[in-house]
Amino acid sequence: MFNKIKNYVAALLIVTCFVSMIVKAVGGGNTKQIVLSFWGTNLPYQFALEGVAEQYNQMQDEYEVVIDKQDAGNYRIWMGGRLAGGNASDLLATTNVYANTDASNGYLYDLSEALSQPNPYSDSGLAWKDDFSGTYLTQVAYANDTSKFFCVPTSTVSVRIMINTDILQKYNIEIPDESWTFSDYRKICEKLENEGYTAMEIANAKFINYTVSWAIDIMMAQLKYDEVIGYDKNQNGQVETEEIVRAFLDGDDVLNMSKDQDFKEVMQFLKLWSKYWGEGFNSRDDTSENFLRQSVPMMFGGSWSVSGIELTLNNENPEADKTNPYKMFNYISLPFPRLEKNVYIDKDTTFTFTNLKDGLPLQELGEPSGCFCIPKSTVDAGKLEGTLDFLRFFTSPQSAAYMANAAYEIPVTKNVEVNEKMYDFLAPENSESIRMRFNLLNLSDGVAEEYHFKQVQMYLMTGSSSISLSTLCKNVQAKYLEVTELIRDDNDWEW
Amino acid sequence: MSKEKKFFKKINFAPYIMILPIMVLLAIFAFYPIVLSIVKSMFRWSGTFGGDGINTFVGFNNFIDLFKDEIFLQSWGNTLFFVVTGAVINLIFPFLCALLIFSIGNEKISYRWRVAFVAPMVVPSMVIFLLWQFIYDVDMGVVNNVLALFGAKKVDLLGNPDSVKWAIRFMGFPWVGGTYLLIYIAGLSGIDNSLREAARIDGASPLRRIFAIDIPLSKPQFKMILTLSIIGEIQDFVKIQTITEGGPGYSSYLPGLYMYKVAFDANEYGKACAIGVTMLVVMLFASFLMNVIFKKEDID
Repeated sequence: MFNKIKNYVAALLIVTCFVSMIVKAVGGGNTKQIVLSFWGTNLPYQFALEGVAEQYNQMQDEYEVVIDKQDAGNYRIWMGGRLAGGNASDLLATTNVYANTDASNGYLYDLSEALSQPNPYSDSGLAWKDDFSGTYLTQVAYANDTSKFFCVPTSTVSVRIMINTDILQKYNIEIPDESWTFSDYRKICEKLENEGYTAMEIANAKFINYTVSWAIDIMMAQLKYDEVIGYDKNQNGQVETEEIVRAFLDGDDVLNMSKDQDFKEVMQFLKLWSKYWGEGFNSRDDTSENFLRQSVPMMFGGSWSVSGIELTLNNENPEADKTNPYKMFNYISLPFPRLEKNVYIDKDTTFTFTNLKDGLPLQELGEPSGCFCIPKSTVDAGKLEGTLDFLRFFTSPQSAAYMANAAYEIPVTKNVEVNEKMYDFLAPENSESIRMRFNLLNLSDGVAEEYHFKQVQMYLMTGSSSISLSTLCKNVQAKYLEVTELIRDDNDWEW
Repeated sequence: MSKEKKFFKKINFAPYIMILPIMVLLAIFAFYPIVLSIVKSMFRWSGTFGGDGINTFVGFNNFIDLFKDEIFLQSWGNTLFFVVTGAVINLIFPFLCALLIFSIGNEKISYRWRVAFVAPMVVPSMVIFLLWQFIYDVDMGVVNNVLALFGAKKVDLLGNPDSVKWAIRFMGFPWVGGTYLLIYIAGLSGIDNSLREAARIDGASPLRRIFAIDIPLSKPQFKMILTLSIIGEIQDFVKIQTITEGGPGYSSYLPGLYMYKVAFDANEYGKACAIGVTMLVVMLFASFLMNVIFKKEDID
């Protein structure tokens, strides 16, 4: 009898635990607490984010912002599951692609109305959306309806060529400035190559290295400047998904990458250039290590590398550890060198871009990053007001300056004072560059983006696995058609 | 007291109530996803339940598309390489190591060796992957530094389609630690020592004893490890995602990696479910095949 009672008590305890687990999982949280979830391995970014939250918490006592760091590798799975389950954090770090997908699934709050009102944390007196520089905000507009915004960027990333000026000075090479051309760049490389260096390294192992894809974008933006303006039907300075789909599918003069001379020339140029990137560029995941060790004088990298470089160089202490391979050096960051009609590659090779026009603006605007979205579950939990208020504070000039100085994040809003290093990365005032992402980007299909990258990677390879230029162009066009037709049909677009 | 009341009084309900929570959890987290993924593999599905997402029945179109998809087919080709080489490695190396450890006469020393081989299991696999990535690095890696000592040219093992799969396979060398070693040791310990003793008295050499006693009587362990190894190789993609992201090109791409990307990067959950279902079918078939082969051998 006693044993039977014991068994029933144990069974009751297990059931109680189970029920309480479920109640806790589906139950509501603290209505005063705003949880911001993000992913990343960048410690300066995490500390800066915590700093912004602390500043906000000290400034008011109605809400408490809590920073929740998630595992970078599983973030998308975690985020997707939480959004589907209706128990996502109040404010979520996202990307433009993720936000488009989640918005089309009905998970996110539309921020367009809030963006049309002034940001109380900005002195501009303008609507919040007008505080953003260039096309940083329009780049994250909802793909299916550009009047809607399901995320806002808080910072941006950009690519630059970082140059160790100490090495250049050592070999009496003139330090270039931002007006440099590709021929200037190659002549500098040649001098360094004569001294035994691989002049510049570029990471090309994975799609997420972005640098090669970005180089293609920058070159295509120069070559196809006139056409890209034509694709921008709503003339907002950004070629959005619908306009890309239209460029490929609508009219007599549609974009065809299998025949496009500009695309073919960019690919041929890239292949010629890649033989100077050093052995193993197809397996190189990072270039900052060699740049930090000063074994490579230049690296083509993103602004995201700067915090790591600065952190390492500032921590340099040769007395503490004699084996420390890093010694302090000076470096500058320059935009991608401008292409010319006839580009000097080496003493035997000059490359001609048939359709290149001189004097066109260089594509200098970065990619919006540090995007944040508000799940609908936040609205249901009655936390919209507080979450929106923090998001406005986060994009204010004060917070943007703090993020730039503490974590080398490039601001996306106007009137932000930044440190000297970050100044090089700022978008030029009144930039006229119209942004179109080639590489199958901005179509909310990461697999297609990766396909483009891998096709280029296989073209750049040498050996039996390498693919020809015609195969590359044919495959890329086929993928463009497959993806754009699907998007057109899903959205019932007719022009 | 009625018959029914007597019947219910006889049954002890407590074990059923105690097992109920775990059965509910299993049903929610194990059985339901399997059924759901089979159903959803026949849909074009954006991963939502109701709401604004896409959820259209497409029949077997996802499967038909997959079998026309070069990436999918190449990823299965790569898997075949990893399954075959993995099976060979997992059948031979941990078994040899288990034999050596088992043959140590001193129980205390044998135990220490076991601990030494199992201890690396506590190192997070991510650390090991990144360590090997560093070993293969063209500029700073151990391999290229050793080659440089002999004046050889740099080799790009992870950036070359001809070498990348072998380089990934070589990771974890000498492939002896961990669970498989423990399974083999447990198997060898389970063999009655009197058999070995009898063989020794009959004049059988140590090598003969291994081939005549240890290997035949370790068949259940070989079967288990072969099945686990095949399933593990088909499911694995974290290593590839970390080191090469399936590259260069698609030369180290795997179905699991493709499934992950199709679901979470392209939002085509229906197609991802179809990839998952094909993986499930292949794994079930492999397990069935192992049962048939080993059963047949038992009968023989």
